Amino acid sequence: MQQEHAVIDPIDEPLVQGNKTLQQVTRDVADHLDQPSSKAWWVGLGISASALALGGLCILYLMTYGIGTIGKNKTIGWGFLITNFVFWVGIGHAGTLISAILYLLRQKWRTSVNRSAEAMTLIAVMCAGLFPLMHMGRPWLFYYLMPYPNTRGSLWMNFRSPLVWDMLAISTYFTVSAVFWYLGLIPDLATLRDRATSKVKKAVYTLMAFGWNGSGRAWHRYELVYLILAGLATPLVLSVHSVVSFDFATSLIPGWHTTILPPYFVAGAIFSGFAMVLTLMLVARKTMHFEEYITQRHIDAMTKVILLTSMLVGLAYLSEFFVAWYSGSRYEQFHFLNRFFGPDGWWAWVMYGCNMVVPQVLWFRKVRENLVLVFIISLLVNVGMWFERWVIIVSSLQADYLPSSWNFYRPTIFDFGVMLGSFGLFFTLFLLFAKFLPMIAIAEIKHEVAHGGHAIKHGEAA
Amino acid sequence: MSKQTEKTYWKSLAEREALLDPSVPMPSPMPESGVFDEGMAAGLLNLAQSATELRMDRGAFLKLVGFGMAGAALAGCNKAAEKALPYLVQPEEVTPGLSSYYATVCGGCSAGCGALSKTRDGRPLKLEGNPSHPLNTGALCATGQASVLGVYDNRRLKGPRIDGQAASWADTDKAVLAGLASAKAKGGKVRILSRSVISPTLNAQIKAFLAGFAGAQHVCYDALSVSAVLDAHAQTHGRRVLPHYRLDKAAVIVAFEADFLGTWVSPVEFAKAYQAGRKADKKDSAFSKHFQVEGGMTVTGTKADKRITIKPGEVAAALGHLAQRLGGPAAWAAGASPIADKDLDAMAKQLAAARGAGLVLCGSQDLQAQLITNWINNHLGNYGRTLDLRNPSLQKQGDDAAVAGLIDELKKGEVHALLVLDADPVYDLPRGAELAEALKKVPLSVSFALGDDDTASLCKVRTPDHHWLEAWSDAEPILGTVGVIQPALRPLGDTRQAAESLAKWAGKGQEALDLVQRYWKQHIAPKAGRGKPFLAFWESSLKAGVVSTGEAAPGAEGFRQPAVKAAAAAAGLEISFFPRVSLLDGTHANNPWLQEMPDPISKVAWDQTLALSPETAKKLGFKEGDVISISMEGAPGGLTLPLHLQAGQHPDVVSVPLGYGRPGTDRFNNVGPKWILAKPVVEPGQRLGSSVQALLPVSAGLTQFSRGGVTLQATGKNIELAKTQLHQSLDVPSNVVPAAGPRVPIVQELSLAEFRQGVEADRHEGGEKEELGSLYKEHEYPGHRWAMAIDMNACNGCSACVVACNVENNVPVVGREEVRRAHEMHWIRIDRYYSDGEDGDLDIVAQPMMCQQCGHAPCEPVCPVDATTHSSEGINMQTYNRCVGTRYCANNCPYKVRRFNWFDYPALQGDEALALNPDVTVRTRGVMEKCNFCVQRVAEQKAESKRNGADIQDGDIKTACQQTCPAEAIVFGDINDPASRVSRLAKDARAFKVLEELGVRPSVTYLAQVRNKS
Repeated sequence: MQQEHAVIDPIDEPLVQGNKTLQQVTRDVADHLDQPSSKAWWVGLGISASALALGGLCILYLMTYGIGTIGKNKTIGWGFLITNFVFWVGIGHAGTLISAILYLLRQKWRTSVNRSAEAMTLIAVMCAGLFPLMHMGRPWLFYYLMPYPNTRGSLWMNFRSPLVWDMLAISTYFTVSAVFWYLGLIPDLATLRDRATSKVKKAVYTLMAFGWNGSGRAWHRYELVYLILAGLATPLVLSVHSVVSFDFATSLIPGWHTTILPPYFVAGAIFSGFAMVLTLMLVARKTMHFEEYITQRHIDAMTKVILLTSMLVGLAYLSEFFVAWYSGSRYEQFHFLNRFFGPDGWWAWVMYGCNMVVPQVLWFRKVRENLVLVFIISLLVNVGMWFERWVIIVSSLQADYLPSSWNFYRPTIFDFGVMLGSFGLFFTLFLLFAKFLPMIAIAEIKHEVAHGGHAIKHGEAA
Repeated sequence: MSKQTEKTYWKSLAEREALLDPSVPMPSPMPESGVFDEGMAAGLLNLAQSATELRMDRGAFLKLVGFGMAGAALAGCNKAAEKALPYLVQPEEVTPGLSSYYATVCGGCSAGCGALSKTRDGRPLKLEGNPSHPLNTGALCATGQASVLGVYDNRRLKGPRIDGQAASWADTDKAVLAGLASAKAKGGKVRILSRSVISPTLNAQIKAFLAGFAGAQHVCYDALSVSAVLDAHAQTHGRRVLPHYRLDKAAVIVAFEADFLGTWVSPVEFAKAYQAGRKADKKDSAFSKHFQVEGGMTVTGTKADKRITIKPGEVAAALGHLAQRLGGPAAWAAGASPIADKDLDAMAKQLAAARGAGLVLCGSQDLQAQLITNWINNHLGNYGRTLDLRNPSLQKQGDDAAVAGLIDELKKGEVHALLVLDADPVYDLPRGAELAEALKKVPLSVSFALGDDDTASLCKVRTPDHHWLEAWSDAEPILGTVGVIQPALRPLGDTRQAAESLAKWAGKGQEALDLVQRYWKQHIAPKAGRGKPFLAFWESSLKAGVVSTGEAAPGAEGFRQPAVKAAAAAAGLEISFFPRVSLLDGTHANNPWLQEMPDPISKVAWDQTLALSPETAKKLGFKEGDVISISMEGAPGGLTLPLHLQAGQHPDVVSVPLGYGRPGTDRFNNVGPKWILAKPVVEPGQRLGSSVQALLPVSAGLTQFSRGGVTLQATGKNIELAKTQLHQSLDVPSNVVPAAGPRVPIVQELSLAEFRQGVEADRHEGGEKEELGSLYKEHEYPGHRWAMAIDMNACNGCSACVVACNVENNVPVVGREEVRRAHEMHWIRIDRYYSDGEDGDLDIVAQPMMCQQCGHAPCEPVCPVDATTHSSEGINMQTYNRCVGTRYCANNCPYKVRRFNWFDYPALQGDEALALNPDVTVRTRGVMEKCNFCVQRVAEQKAESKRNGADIQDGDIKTACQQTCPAEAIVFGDINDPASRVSRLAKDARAFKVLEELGVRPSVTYLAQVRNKS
């Protein structure tokens, strides 16, 4: 009979199952980095890289011939690209939320998922960052949006423009998230360094580990900086999507011009971010055999966050209807009626269905424990959230004030190509991350394993 | 002078040396220029071509370097090496960079509106109406505005040709003279076939030329024939003339199938006069009552106080009934009236009440209808008042019967020499195919056409005429009103004016200028010169562009009672072939501006459509865009066209526009951006749309524009029309009506009664006062603040402003596929809305919409790079080279007037680039643009007044749209000046602002539409 040594929370289920020793943890997480890649990984990378390449060609074409290759028009100046931008920024929320906010709230279950979630955040923000650049009429002049010294009488950007706030908010968020993520990686990189067999790997990991020696002083500094960065990142989680929502909220387009947008967008971002983490974790758990690290308890916690945020966005949706009715503004009222019953009403039905109705099944434990269902729900939430951004952007623009200008969005193959490319980029980078870096924070898990030792052992009590 | 100012500052060491030592030459302030080219125009052509090439290279180059860091350094070195072409001796009247305006007469159609050609550096850039010309007093139509491009058309012939081979003028003359000599020797007939010639000098040359041959004739036709009107007057008044209609003097206007504001005879003049008769400026000002009776929907119909639909074939019957109510023979009112009794009674009552101030117009080619029209007008004493026969119109002189006779002669091979002047009869005439066949039998066929057309390519000798902007000529559209045509540039090719050619062949070789002057000396100066020496008179005439000779035809003979055969209207679907406002008869169909101009009614650009009422389409199971095959009894072949659902269309009338399938439209293969999903406007070598001329029936010698026995058949195909407006109504769709009501309150209308009672247009409650305070400093307008007022009562939607704006502001043409994708670039558009009026009528409004230059512009704060900013004069400016193209401003514009360069749209191609306005930047790909109140005109006038030391007077600055508006619907001015027109209009009872409730403070005031529902 195997010796049981479960890592458990004093009052709840164990965080890591299977009575892991510290060495086992390292092996479970890091061994596959030394082994040849699995067939599934190659297939996944092949598909993702092909999508990326296709998207890359579309972007190249778009940049060469002009933004007219995309289905926008005189009435609808933003479409697929900005929808994808907001979508990816939203996805990029979960990682930092998990690692920073949950860290500060001492939610220990985060340790199993925070590394991947943070990686996902960075990659999603990279994907997001592509779109504003691409959607510009003259992307080669992107630096006009930056405050750099110049000879134009020092002509800087317009600080009143939400797009400038956007650029600042997202670049700050990306920087802090990247530093935070990398900081958390350092002890694990040192572990990899120490167990590396090939010279190249050793050299690379040595460089990346910044000379980590695992001394008490190093750990002390590490913990301190990690805490400070968690504190810094926390407001950013809330600010980024608030600022993105200002793009819409500060305008005067019916459907955009509403003060509820910042909390609405943040809730939506957490909602979609968690759904995406769940999607990825469920796949990783299965393919990389992390069942003992990412347990039902993690899945339960994440589905509950999804359920909560689903109701938050639902509340925001309902408030919007109320405000439209209460405002007495005919254009607002018309917009919300048109959103549902207009020629493209099905967008809204997809959005409200996937975001408000579908997650309600998560009230049931049986559903939460059925991983196939949870996986499908997480996908539906992401579809719903993509449509939420699409509805907000396009259905608001396509019929605003003057009926003469009402129009339709006519997507071209380039709209879809670029979107596909962003998914390709996302999964390619994520697969590379899974291949070359530890997907689970080894040091943090070890911490939990070590501290779990003197807690009550489940199972043996019986 | 203080000592300091006496100090001399040197700018370079060389200059210092020169200052110290007088023997050293002063360095030239300008870089030395090399080339001097005497052929200014030719040189400019080369320059334009190299500039076009250069632009492409530079664009591509910038794209490349933009992505690389190193590129930034290189970009500064990319200096174009251009050859300058200085004048050796600067002509006295030319100041580089300033435009000269030469008075001339627009040659766009035969209406003969006075024009000014804006010319700079030897090339005409834009046409404007001549304010001194009594016909159009400063306005031009869309065709007139666009026709400046014709002079640069690179498909024009560069010189004469014999049998398709380039030849010298000497050889050509020899060939023509030999042909004419043989015609004379053999006694063969000599014929000149032309459209209406309104130039007295050219007419004199034609006469002189034909006088040399026995029995020679000049045959005239008009593609948009009104021959029946002339024929009817020949019967009733003994003179085959077209009356000069005086709409300004008419209190009651009843028009049958006559789109006089859009396309009929002289629309600019009529629109001016019509507007003069229904100004809603004062409560007690006269306001005419307008009934429009028509089958299809026309711009005239949209302005009517009462619009009644009948089939084109029912016009005579309807007129018969009207005449009968006014006391005419009962026999004329045989059968049931196509117009409801109530409406007929109202019409008859109002016409009778306005004796001498009524006007019945009929555009039908049915002689019976015209005879009844004349009877009514005569019966009501309108001749001599609203119809002028003493100074008749010479704008349309065509005689359908004479043309038919000529074709018969040609077919019999009797004609020895046929000279085709300013005409393309093979395309224009219903019997064009017969003519083309018969033309082969003519030993000497000469075409004066500027370029290839369907007739010219069949003619043996081609002696290309000058474009009218290169010519010396004159024009007499109304008897006694003569305009002078003077060249605005040197001929671009080796062409020769038709009048010169004719004079040469008549043995009196003279230059065109001499011909015109000689004619004027003999015929015009004695009547109009008031005893001035001829040269002084000539100079002043050139300057004014028009003179009045006081000539009048003898008083009309007594009215002869016409013998009218009452006609019975046929049942079933009728097809009506109508001229589109933009294309008219198709003469300018190869003009990209006109093709891209959306039709004022259907809002369709480029596409030739078939219009059908929504009810009939529903009954037949057709939907918008369905490709329908039309077959007509007795017509060869048929037509296949996409369907446009037209509200207000008679249920039994199918309308199809003329002017398509023109030669030269194959050039549009090249229009629009080139990319992988691009769809060309036309396939290579194909023409745009199909010609319907062969389908026009000829009845009793008259070309008809409608025919019965129509059957429609769906082909199963459906295409998306290139429409610039998809939603047609101010009412939102019935399933999404908000609590606040269905109608979007952006247009206001008043009935005449309400207006007279002093009812005011609704303003947003509280206006600007109730707004909350702003975090930002309010804009200050210390000097001028430019604003605009648009009278919706005046605007008829003719879209001349749209084309004028295109010409003035170098607005690119994007092509059909881009219009379909809602990528059109027009800075001003005419929004057209249908609504169901209280009396069951379909009420239509046209709302010109351009940048509203908001005081609190929503576009300004959202631009991340400050590319759109507020000027101290209230203009919302767009800095193209700062724009990075986020399109946030366009999204945030509630009026959706901003336009984006989705691709690298070429502004104008080839030689046509010479017509670009040098005062306005040509925009590159990826930047936003929009109306800026013609800021270049404002700047020009400000500089001018600064030079003169005078203040800018109200009305000194006219925007391009305002300048050309035939209805004078647009007023531009300084709203800081309380006495300016725009200030007064902003406080008018009819004044309202669009979307004022948003707090964006638009600078454009609209004046409510008034309808005379009495």
